[in-house]
Amino acid sequence: MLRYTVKRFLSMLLTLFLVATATFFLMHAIPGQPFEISRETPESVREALEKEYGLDQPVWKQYLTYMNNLLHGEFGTSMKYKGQTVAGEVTGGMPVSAIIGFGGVLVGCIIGSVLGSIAALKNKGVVDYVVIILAILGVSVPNFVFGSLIQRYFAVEWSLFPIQGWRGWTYAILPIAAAAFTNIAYYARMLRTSMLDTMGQDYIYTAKSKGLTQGEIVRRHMLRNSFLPLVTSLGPMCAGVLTGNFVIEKIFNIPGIGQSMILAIQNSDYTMIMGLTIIFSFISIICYFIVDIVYGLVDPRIRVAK
Amino acid sequence: MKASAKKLLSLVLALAMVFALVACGGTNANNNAGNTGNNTANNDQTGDTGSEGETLAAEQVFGFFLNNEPGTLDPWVNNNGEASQVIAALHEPMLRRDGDGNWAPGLMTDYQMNEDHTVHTLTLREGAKWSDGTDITVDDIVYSYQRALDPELGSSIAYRYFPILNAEAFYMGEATAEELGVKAVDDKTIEITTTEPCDFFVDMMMSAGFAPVQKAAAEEYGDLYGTDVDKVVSSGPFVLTEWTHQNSMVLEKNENYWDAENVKLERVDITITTDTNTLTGMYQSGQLGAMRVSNDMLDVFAGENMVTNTRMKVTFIEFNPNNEYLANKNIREAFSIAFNRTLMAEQIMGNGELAAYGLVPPGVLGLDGGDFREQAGNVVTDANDPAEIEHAKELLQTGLDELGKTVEDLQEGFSIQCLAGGQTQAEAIQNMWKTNLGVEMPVSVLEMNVILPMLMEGTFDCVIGGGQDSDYRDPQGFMQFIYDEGKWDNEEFLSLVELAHTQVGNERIQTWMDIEKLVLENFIYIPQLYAENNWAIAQNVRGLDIFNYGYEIDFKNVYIVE
Repeated sequence: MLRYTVKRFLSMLLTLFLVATATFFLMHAIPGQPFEISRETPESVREALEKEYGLDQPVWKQYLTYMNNLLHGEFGTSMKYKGQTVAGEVTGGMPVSAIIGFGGVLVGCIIGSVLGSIAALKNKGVVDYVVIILAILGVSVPNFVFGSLIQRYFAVEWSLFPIQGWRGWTYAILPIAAAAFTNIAYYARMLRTSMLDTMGQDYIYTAKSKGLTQGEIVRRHMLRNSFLPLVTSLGPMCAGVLTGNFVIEKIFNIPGIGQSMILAIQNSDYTMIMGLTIIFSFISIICYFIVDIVYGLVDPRIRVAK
Repeated sequence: MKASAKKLLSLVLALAMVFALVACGGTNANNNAGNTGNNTANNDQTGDTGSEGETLAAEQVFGFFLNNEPGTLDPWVNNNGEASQVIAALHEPMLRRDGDGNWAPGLMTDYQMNEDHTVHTLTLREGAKWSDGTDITVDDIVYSYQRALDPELGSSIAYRYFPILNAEAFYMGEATAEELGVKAVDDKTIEITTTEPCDFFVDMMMSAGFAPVQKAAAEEYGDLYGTDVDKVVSSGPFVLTEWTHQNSMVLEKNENYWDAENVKLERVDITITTDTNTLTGMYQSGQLGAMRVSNDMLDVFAGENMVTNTRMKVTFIEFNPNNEYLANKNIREAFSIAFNRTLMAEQIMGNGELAAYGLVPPGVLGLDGGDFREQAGNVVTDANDPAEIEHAKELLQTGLDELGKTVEDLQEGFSIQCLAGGQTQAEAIQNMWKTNLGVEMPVSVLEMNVILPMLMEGTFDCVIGGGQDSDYRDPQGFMQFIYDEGKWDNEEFLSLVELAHTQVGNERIQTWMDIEKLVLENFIYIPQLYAENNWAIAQNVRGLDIFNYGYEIDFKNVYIVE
């Protein structure tokens, strides 16, 4: 296990290095510059700004400087917004995005699983059709449409929740609901399929013939086996929780990290883009790593194979 | 790598979407004609007549919005028009504006200009205090100017202060701070000297970008002054008490403000978002006191209390005369004529009055204090007169013959560049050129920070929707940039601009009229539209000042009624 972990760790470093390098050069290949200047800004002023941020240096030199800073844990400050650091942006925005992101996955996963299980158990019943319709809606209606819709009715028309902002837990309800919407559909569909698949397996017949009650069969055999694909999907899902909800963050005006990333790209804010990309990659890689371990816990066959 | 590539792609797509949404918040119109004579749209809705029988609401809170995060609230660094509204609420401008566009006492109580229009004397208000309770001194003011031009600060708008004597030299390190033309004569008199006569200096004094900052705070925070909630010291009607970056701000009444007794508002809640739906929802449920409404949203706001504010701004098409085809004046003129401005203003902006037949928008001061635009009249003609279309076709043919090229060559010869926000307009113009001239040019939509370097380096072909606005009501504000950019080296143009800089009064205005004519007769800058903003103002809001140049909204006199 130790050797496995070390191997994973080294490959993680390599991935990070490649991501940082690729992002750096891709970013510099895009035309544009980060400063808020207008067409009257004289050459002298522009040159002074470029010098201050080292943009007058050749790209390879900028790359070396950047990598060196990175090794020392310095992500730098925003080129567009003086005084805003990458680290500050991350510590400020990440918890907020995490609440919306994980909230959305958690709520989506729980409600989706319950609906999916019921749909599978009552195959071709009313619940089943409701779940199928919901799944189609969830996949085809983008979450920003759903977000705007619930904002319109639950906040503007009926004044049950705040319209926008981030000043307390009531502000999280609608955004989490919006983020959960697609997830509910996704998990419901997935669990329904998975359950139906499991129901036809031989060991279910064995359990039945052993005389186990329906409840026990569902709990001990069906659910446990049906959850396997769900765990696999949690990895990518978790990797996306921080950045995946930027549209929802925008609609509900939530100061999350997703918005920061969009804004940074829009502004060609080099240091911000680099810093956030590297941190996002880091989180994604960690998430995949954790999922690998969890997967082993859920399915003993994988552990044995290792 | 694959996952991150996918993420990058989705971010790019999202970015395109966000940009499209931002674009919805642009400048817009309804059917009102511009208030050309009046320079300030002071929409004090109560006036003194309507306020009878109205009682002040218990909670004096005004909800407002910004579409973009202000990079900074430092008046001397800020380059964001929206942010200047907040800056003016926190930093008392040297002079304020009355309803007619004339100066009113602000931080300074008096303004005098010498006969040469080069020395401007201002008197500091007695007893004016910073929000921390300390006195505002002439030292603070002189220091503010020196700091703005200090290369150490690295302000990207330093050039705006270059009209001041020795400003540019100081910025370039060729003069000392003491040589700068800003001096304290005594402990309440400031004397500012301009290198050349400056009739419109008083307008600069009214802009947010000349509002002094506290020396102690500016020295402590350096170039980080104004970048966070704890790094601003106020002299204006409000203080900053909360700032969640890219999200929201809270301003509260400044008890140390010189005119605090006339400020009724206790708080301004500012939401920072580009999401029009969210803002509309907030307005409809009473959380916004005022909202700028884009053209496509006017239907939703039918029946609301709307105010149309003509902004002093012009948009134009810019041709690159270094392009093989656009180097030909006949071809440029043909394109200018084939573009029907009135039709575009009517169909896209809903107001034909916004068609621009000159570079200087209505509202700019002309001869004897009149309106420049009215006096100069329409400088260019276009296809709004059907007879002109034939003329345009002839010009195009003549131009192509001169180059020995065909229409097919021309179509390959250049493309149209525009911002996402100007795509509708660019496509309308593309269509008019196709209909009237039979040539179809491709349109490419680019981002601001991509187009800007292209414009500055001369690597563009034809940019549609470039714009110019000004902090002062003077023709110089709308043409000086051509001189400053230095791309157009026409001898006559350069000498006329230099002449204008030495003149004052009507002589100077006349020179600028000649310059406008010269510029437009060369068809490099093709005027497109003037601008107006529609504001929906909540029923319970009174006293909101909306200005047609400089910072647009002033919260100082706002109050809320039951």
